[in-house]
Amino acid sequence: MTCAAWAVTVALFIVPAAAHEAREAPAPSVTVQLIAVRATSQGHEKPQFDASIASIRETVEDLKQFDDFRKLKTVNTVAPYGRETRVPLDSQYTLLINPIERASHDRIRCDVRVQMRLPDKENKPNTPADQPQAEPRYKEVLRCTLLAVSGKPFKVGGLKLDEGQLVLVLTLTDKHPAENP
Amino acid sequence: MNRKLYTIERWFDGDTACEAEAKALIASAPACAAHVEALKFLRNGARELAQRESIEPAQFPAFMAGIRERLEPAPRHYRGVLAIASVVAASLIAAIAIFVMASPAPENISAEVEQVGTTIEGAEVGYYNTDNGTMTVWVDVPEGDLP
Repeated sequence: MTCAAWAVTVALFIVPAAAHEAREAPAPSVTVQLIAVRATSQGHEKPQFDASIASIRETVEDLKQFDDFRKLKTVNTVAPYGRETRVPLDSQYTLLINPIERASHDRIRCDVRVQMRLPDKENKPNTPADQPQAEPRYKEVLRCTLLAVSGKPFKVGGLKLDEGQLVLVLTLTDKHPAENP
Repeated sequence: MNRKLYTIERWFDGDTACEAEAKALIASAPACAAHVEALKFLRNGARELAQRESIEPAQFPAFMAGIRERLEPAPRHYRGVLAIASVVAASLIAAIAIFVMASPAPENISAEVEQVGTTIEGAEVGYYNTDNGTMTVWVDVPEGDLP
């Protein structure tokens, strides 16, 4: 067998193996830890927290206009780089996180958006019942691009709830900073 | 007296016939000796006037520069001040650039905001770092407005 034949044979084994390995490797992504909080002012002498969110006390303690913090939702998810990950918060708000790129070994450039669902239009009386309902409409109520330090929490807030205001404490973590996103 | 002076002048102008008489007059009369000196002075002055100065092509720029110096008002010496101001400004810019580049990013902050925005009419979005370094992005929605 000639050298060329050997090379072709080896390549036939190596290329599929490499492709298989590439398929197995997870896409670069960041883990997202979200704690959605309802912040209100109840007249407490000291700020009060749900026991489950006592860990964010330091993160929200500067919000002096509120003294009562109640957990709305906790989400732990994975957001791939270059893709937008939707996280519904309640019937009104949806969080969208798009990790754009790894800016340095511990910094993640990402878009954070919050959309508010607009009230559905009332169906006309003569609309057939079997006709599909219109897509929900959203309004982008907050958008920010930031350079987040991996593993450190930041917060966005100020959006109104039925009672109080919404505060989102977000922590993005890139567990594989050596990989190229 | 006039005749004596006239004799001296004739001798002075080259008449050798009256040389003995003229020399005798100069030796005997101080006024005649002074008159000879005056004549010498006049002759030397006339000679100097007769020598016309000429300017060589190589001297012309310096000649014109001299004229200009006399004609134009003395320039104000701003050049030095401007040079010093330029050097100070350049040094300041360099120092600020070095400070910005050399300063490490704040260690304790959790994020840096690059841009913010909202579509809520009348609302404003601001951001700040808390004392413990937590970046906070806050939408300030006017009362009564959505959401």
